[in-house]
Amino acid sequence: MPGPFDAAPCGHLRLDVDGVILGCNRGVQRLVGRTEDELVGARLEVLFGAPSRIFVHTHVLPTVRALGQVSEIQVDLRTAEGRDVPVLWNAVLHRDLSPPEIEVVLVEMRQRAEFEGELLRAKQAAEAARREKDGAISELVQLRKLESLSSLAGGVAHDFNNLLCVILGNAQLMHEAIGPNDPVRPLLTAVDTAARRAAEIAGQMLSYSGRASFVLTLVVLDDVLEGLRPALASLVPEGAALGWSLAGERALVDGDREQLRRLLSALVTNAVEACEGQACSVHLRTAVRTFDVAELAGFQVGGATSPGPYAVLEIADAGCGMDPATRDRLFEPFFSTKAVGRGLGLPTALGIVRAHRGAVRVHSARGLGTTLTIAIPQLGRAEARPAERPAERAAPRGDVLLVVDDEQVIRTLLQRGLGRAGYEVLVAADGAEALEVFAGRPDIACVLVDLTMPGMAGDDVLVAMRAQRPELPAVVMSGFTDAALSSRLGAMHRTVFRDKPFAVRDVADLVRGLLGPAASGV
Amino acid sequence: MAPSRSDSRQSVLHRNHVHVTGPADAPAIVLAHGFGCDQTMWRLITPDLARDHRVVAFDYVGSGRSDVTQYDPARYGSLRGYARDVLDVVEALDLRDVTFVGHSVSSMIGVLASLEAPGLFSRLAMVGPSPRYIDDPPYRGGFSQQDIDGLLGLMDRNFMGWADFLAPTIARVADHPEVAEELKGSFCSTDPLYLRRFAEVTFYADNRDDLPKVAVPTLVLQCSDDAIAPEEVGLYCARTIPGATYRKIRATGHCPHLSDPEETLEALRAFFAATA
Repeated sequence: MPGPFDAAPCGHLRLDVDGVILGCNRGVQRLVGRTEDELVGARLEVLFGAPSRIFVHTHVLPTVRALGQVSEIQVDLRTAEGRDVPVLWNAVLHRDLSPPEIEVVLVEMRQRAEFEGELLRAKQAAEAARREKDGAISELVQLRKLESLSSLAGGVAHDFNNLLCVILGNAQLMHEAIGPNDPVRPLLTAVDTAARRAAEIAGQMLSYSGRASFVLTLVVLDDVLEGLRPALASLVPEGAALGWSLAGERALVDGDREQLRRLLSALVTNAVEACEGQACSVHLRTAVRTFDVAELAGFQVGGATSPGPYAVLEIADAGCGMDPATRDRLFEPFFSTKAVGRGLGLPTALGIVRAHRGAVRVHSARGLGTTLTIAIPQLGRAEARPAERPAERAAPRGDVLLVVDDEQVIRTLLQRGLGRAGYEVLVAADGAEALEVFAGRPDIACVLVDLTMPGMAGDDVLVAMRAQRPELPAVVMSGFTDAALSSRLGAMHRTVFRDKPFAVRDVADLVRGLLGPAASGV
Repeated sequence: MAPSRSDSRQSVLHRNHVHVTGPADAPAIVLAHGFGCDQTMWRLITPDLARDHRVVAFDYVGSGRSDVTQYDPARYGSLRGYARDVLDVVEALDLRDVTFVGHSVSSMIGVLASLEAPGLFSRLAMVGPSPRYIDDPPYRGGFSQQDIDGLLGLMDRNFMGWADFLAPTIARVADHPEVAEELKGSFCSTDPLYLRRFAEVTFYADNRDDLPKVAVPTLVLQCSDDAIAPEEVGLYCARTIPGATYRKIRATGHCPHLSDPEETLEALRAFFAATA
């Protein structure tokens, strides 16, 4: 005898709360190709294949039990022949019955499932495209922001360095002008000390901007760490733990030792400060890992994009961690969460990593500590370049030098200092004057020229002089090293750069290197 | 200024939406929900346990009312990340001699947590455990690779219109304020994105090698007719975990703490008494 729902254009099921089938209409029997006798008394699983079975047990039944109903859930019925039939599942729990029952209505959705399948694929493709676009836009915005900050920091540092050169130069001239016991001397020393400290900060800003000078040689990361062990240990407060796990000689990179030291100090200082108020624990680890493109995409900042082996430096602290907003601003210069903090440590670290063609990944959560992972392309032994031999220095031979700088103080300083070192020093205040002097003195052995001057720029002056004497040695002085210019001029024979501010004796060393018997172009 | 230890503790308690009930000086029980839902799964047995235990329930990050802004795909790309959540909660509350009760995949998460910090846990109770869901002959987990791929496809189909899946259902029970208040925005309110990832991590996991390392008294609670963790799998767990107690209960399905809370409580309490 037909049941009350047998003529209904849908499946109708009654279940107990444990999922045993109490009754079903002909619609259900038709959908799964089974008889009423096969279904009634069986457990719900008889209706499904494995995927829907898991979904029903982990989602659908718990939801019905907890909320009393569910609607429009998609599941696949499995027929006796093993065919899947997509249906919409609507259910309600009748708590008022004793024992309670679950009433289910199943609506076949074969055509709709096909349409939805198409829609789902289109949606997934659109979502993937949107994620890619969002990621690219966000990366671009971040990149532009960092580039703009980097350019600002580099520009400020350049101007600072020129001014500091004047301050330090004047301080030095005054030191020479006054007597040994003059009461002004301690004041001058204070000016000198403060100016040198300011030069360090400008140096950090240059590192961040990527305009600092880097001397790349073959470096084993572990050697840098080992060399710094006592200094790093002194950064960690008493009673705190500084752990080490080193990779050994495999962590070879093309690196600047001094800048890598600066990087490590900045990272350890930051990690220690993150532990403030808590038991401090910092762990340093080096390793060699091979990253694929997907893994490199997980690195938030830096320039490394080529898959392959990387020397990895990891620093983990058990400190307070960061929320995502802080993490996003971590490498911005002058951003600091500390009351006393200049916000230059990590930006400097980033600039150094970039200059090493590396990348940084930050893993941090509020209250759960921070791990910074730095990846620098690993050098194979075969790629390793021999370390450059420093040029032999010869004693000055009374050579004639021409100093070209628009700053009177710099001209005076160099004239006195290099004069004391045994050279005859001519000076010029701009490009035009320099070319005039140069034309009248064919015995000029080397020119020292400031890059940024009003009127004729330093590199133009040099090009004009070299048109007459291609072999003329030159020291180019600048508040920063412009990468493109450095590359263009660096390719010239017998040319060296010197960042400002500088000590005169360093400049004298450079000149000796250029003019000495073993000197060669850089 | 850097946050204090107390701030860190609060961070974890907020992140995992931790709820503590029962006397503060009573032995601690941590209840860990399984794949698909959240801590409200325990609501029918919590009041009884809280009579003489300090009961801690929580949501894994990405589930229930956890702070999903703390979801880190790398951390939660394996069950170890979820085990770290358990340890964070235990450490934040400074718990010792913890009885860990894990449902379904949380049974294995409990194993990983106990191996990571052996001193913190005194016993494990596993409700419907499976160390591996996919068959690997001669081991039988009950599912094929194709089955799990099919489950993920089914989830995608249902979550395509997530707003139509559970939200309207929750809205409709608003006619029953006593139910709605408890459940709205809570039960199974897991974001489908995290849920799908949790499904992948759960159903592709293989923790068989971890079972022999378990060093605390363990209960394997096996339901009758469990369609997710068949009896063969429960027996495998009991055989492989040194000294484990196997208990099969009449309750059917995969969630005995919902379908038969009394029998589940009786089995748990018998295990507690035997291992006291």
